[in-house]
Amino acid sequence: MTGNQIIVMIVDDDDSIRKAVRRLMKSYGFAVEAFASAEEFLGSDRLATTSCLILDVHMPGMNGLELQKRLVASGSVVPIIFITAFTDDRARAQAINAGAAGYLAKPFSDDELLSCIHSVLENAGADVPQFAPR
Amino acid sequence: MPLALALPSAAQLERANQLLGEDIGQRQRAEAALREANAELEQRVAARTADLQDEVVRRRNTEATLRASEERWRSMFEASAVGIAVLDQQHHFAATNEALQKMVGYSGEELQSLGPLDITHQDDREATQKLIEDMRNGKRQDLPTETRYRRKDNKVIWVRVSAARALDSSRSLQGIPAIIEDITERKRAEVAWNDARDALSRATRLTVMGELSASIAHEINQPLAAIITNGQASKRFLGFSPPDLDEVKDAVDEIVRDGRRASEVLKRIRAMSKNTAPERGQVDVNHAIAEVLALTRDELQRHRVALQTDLRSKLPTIMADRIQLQQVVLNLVMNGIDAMRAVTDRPRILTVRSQLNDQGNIVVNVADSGVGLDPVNRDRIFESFFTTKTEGMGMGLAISNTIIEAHHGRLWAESGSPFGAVFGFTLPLAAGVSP
Repeated sequence: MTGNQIIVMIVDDDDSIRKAVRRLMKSYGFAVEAFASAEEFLGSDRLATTSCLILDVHMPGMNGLELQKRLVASGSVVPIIFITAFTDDRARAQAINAGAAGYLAKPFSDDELLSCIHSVLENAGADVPQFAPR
Repeated sequence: MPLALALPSAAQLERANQLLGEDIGQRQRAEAALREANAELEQRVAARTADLQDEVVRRRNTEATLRASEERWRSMFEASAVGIAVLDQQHHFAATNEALQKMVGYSGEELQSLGPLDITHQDDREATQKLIEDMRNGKRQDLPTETRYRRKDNKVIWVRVSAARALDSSRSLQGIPAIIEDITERKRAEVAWNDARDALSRATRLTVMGELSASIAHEINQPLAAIITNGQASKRFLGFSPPDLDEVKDAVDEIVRDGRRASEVLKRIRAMSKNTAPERGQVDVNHAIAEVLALTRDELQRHRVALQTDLRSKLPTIMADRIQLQQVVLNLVMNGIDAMRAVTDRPRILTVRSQLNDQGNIVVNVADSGVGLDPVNRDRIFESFFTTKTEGMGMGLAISNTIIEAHHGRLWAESGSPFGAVFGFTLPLAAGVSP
């Protein structure tokens, strides 16, 4: 991680969700970047600066689970928190087995997402912004 | 006594004798002539008598034939199972048979002072009046019509009336004959059939909607999740000192927009699940298609199907039942998705197209890149309860077919190129009236 800057990346094809999660992350003092597809994220070359990846499961083109597989296969250890509007136990199991840090059903509470991010960041030894709760 | 009597002279005698002889000859000739004349007269009389006798026989035969014919007609009239009436110039039932009297519950005498309009159901009277007018002024030559009569006991029956117009007044036709059939049972069966068909149609529509429920839940869940997240972010921005009102304002704008989005989805679902009788109105076919595609957007995505649309702009609106048309489109889209389930070696593409053909009919196509049509099943796919799916009920295409037929259009299937299937239907611009 470059300096203490925490950058949360959001990959979700839904415009509303992307904007809302981005705003929430911003309210907690995280730097945020948003991508509308897995392909866009991969093509951005921002993986190296990513502290935490918030990833939608179902997306047109490459879906979230496939992106996870790709990242794992390439040796990336970037923590991934999945967010999904589908309650699909198999997808959940697949994500967790592949090392996902969280699997949250939309709509999720801010506490849920935040505690998930905190545990991810604490594990990584990052400095959590001071005004973030906890 | 004086024998003064002079004896006739021989000459005188001779003369007298001659005269007498002539006289006798004349008489004999006259007698002969008279006999001849008599004989001829007798012959003539005999011949004329024979003629007359023939004539009498002929007339008797004709009368008998006429009587027989009339009796035949009368017995047909009286024994007929269908109602028969003769209407007079005032459009009263001048003559009615027993079947008609039984049908309407009035006696023949009562009917003589009644006309068809008097026993027609009040709601059908205006239409019947118009038909009669049209018959009178020659706009119509005959009158096959189905209408409702109100019986004397107030019960309503459905009848089919066939009547022919008197050709012209100079032919002094005694009246207008009319045949009246009681079709109440048939009508009842028709109504029951239509009700059953509508109910089945709604049931299959709801089944498809049920299959879509996961996708629909997702469609509602997405904006709700965004609303909640924006609300939470706003709370935090308001807690800043000073509060970040710009962020809050943006969040509220998005909350409103997402709330509307969720409500739109609900509106579409409600419209598609409406449990009401079919109703017709002006339908923008492209708009109807777009609504269905909005509902299936997620389902398509979940099955990794790419959607291509090619909707012809400025299609004229048509008189149709929007929900039923949407049901057909939904069905074809869901079938297309299903047909591509097994496809892994090529892109799954669903193409929805609307066009206007040369006959001025709207043509809608739904093409997939799926497994295609099995030639063996091809003719059977529109049959009820025929299905190639393990979970299918086999009603989707059968009902779609019924719906399109009710709109006077045609539904068909053909093989796609190079693979897949294309389902299409036409909708005439004058889509007519529902059966």
